[in-house]
Amino acid sequence: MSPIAIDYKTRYGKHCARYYGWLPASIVYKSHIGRSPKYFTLCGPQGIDVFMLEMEGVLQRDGRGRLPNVIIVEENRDCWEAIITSVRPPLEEAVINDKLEELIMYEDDAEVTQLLEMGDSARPSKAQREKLNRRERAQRLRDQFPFEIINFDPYGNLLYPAPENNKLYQAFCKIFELQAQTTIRRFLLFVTTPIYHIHPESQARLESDFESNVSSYPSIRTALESSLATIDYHEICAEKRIAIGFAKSMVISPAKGNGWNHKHHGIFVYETPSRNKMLSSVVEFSKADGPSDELASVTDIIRTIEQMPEYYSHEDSLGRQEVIAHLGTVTEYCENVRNEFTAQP
Amino acid sequence: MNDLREKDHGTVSVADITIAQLSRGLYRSTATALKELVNNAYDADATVVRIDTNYPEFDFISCVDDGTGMSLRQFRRFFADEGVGSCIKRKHGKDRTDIHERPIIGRLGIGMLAVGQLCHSFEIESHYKENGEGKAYRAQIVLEDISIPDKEEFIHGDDEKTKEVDVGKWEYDTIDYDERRKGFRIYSADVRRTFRGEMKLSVGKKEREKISFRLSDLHSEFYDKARKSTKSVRDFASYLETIWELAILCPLPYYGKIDEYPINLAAFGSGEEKSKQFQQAMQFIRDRQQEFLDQKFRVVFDGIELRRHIQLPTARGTIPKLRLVEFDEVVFGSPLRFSGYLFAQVPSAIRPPELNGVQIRLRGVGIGGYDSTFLRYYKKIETIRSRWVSGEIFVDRGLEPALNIDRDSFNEHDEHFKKLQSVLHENVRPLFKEANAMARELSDARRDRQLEELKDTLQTMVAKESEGRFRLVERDLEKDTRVVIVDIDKGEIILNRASRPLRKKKANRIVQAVELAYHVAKETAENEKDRHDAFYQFLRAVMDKLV
Repeated sequence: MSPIAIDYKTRYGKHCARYYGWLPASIVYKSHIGRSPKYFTLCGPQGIDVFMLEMEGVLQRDGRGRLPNVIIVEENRDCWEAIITSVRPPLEEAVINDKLEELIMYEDDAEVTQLLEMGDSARPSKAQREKLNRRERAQRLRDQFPFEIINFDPYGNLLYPAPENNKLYQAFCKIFELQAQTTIRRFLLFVTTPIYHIHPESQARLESDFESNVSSYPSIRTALESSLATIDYHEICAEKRIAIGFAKSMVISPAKGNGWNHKHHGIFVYETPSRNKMLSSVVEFSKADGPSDELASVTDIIRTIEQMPEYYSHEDSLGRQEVIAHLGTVTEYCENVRNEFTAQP
Repeated sequence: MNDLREKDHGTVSVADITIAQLSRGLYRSTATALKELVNNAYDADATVVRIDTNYPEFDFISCVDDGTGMSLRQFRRFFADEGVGSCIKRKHGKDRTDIHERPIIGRLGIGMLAVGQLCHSFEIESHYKENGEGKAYRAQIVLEDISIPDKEEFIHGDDEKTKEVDVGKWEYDTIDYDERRKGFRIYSADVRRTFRGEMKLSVGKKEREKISFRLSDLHSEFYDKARKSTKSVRDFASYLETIWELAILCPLPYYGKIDEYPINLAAFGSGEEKSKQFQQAMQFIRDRQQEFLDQKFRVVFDGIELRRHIQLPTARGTIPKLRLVEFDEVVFGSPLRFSGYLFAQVPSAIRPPELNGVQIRLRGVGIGGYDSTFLRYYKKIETIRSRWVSGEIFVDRGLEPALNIDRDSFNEHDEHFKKLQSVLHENVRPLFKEANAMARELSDARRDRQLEELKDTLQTMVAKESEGRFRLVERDLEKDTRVVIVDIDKGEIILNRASRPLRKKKANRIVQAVELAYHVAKETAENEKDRHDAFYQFLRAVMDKLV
């Protein structure tokens, strides 16, 4: 289904992740820094996360009614158009219209280098102009780093294809590197991916990392035995083992590799109306001054084993009145903001 | 060239390279290019057209409307078969659109290429109905720049033969019809550096802090600031200027409530509002506003809903005049019908100056902005008075053949244009005259008031400085007599009204003041120092009033 055709206003499963995960973590983060955080999002056509955080006071408008420090990347042209209509104004910055992975992973090739050397005398073809434009967009995005809250919620899948061939996942890992190159000490990450379609190699990686953890860390083994009564990966229910594996293999590994300590605030598995399962993690990262804190890392993994994920089936989410009411309030808020800017005088 | 006959005849044709320049753009400004896209949406019975520039990066342009779209047949005709400029909107005598019965604006069919001024290539998507069946396609158009070196090569090169020039390439794919995407869309991520550079330069971080996307804030940006200064819209950022110009040119209703925009009734109170002329003009404006509202057409630019931002008078404390202009006759064998209003505010210039002059609106669309020469009104060189006047003329019939290809100016030798010009001049002449007479009255009244104030001041000062020993009187004495005469016995300081040593009134007053100061000081002070002090004190006080 095209992302533009999705009715985000009735996706209550996803809103469970927003309401129980993204929102409280953002409120706490904002209270720590004492101001609106710099927010990166792949918000989709409705921009519900942006409006939710604004409505709840995490993102604040300036005196002229604009939302500064919100950076949106959108690959799909139709969604870009919808975002422009729904979120801007009051968004201050331009929406970057390109594939996130292409921007994050961008590097000059020989052709671009030659064109740059030619300067104004170059008469680039359309394809060359596209390359130069992408270069500029990539630079613009990199200039925006660091972000204090990163909402990595792409249309793509982090678990399919295999990590080695998955440019989206490589871009996800690169974000830890780009954040580490700045002076930021702490940031919040929301990462969302489908888990109904996992590449066998990704599956194998989750499994082997799980087994390696069990054999290397007795405390993890004990936690598994006491809370799940098994250390066999295949005996653990699918949502739980994927959640644990995703946290360890896909999130913690690249973060630690770039010197970030981690703390999971929650992992949420929810169903879409078409019964497809999605996973959304809320993780806080802090810069490790030396080697990353192993004890804290293991403690965090144990917590994911013991307490996570929270699971919301489609039916379950339909019964959560506070979530439905909250999403209704957010969508109403979106409409009010839009009307405020486009109301007839 | 070898078969030059002694006698021959034929048709006049235009070299392809000249026509090809069209794809590079022929519009004066960004707003006038965008206006063409808006016009197309208007003709397609769209209710809303959204233009986005991805402010503040300006690296992406989109123009999306919900109109009837462009059929694939039309697309092929335009790009493949007949070529750019093969408009069929008005074929078979069609003059109004099917749904909203709007007067059709397009004539030639080159408006879409206006986007070529802003980008190198663009994509279009159209979802439309044909014989009740929903159809859609997506197309890519890549415009090849007919670069200036190429053209120079033709002009100066050895090859005398012109050649056919391809201005670009196109390709399309049919796609599934989607009712929610009904209408026509133009997108481009291949924006020209010139457009982007100009826009980005105009909204740096500092400017961005000032820009609000609330229409009311923009209104105050243009009007309140312009009122308080001599700034013109051009002094604002190019980006804001584009918004302002586009709002003025598009076929849109006025901003705000009818009793405040475009004529602010609260500013009237001099009896003018009771005159028949005023009532007629106001009724005309109300009717026009209703017509625009009935057309249900909206333009949203970067999230800002555009309206025609006009509020007259633009200065407080002025005397406003409102006149109706009407014309409906056959001129040179074809009908010409127009009507409009002319507004004058005496004696203060219209701010911002871009509202000064007359805006010709053809089928509701502004042509070329406000013309401050009133279509070359050279009867007298109008300087101050012409700056007090602003007006709009709506041409409902005729004049279109006079419109130049850029839809931004007129062929001034066209008979309809000549007629419009002469009727306008007939209407502005009495208005200028009336404004001039009123200004003179105001000026005389102000001068008399100042004179009375000065007399009072002088009398008070003479009495004060002489501690009541002298009073100031004015008399008509002989011309040769001095300006000021002191009669100690009667206790009078006489100002000789007949004595006019200088031609300028103000200079005379200064001479009188100096003499007065001298005599008052001489007669009242006991020693030389006091005399000096009294003289300068008196003189300074009078000069404060005079100069």
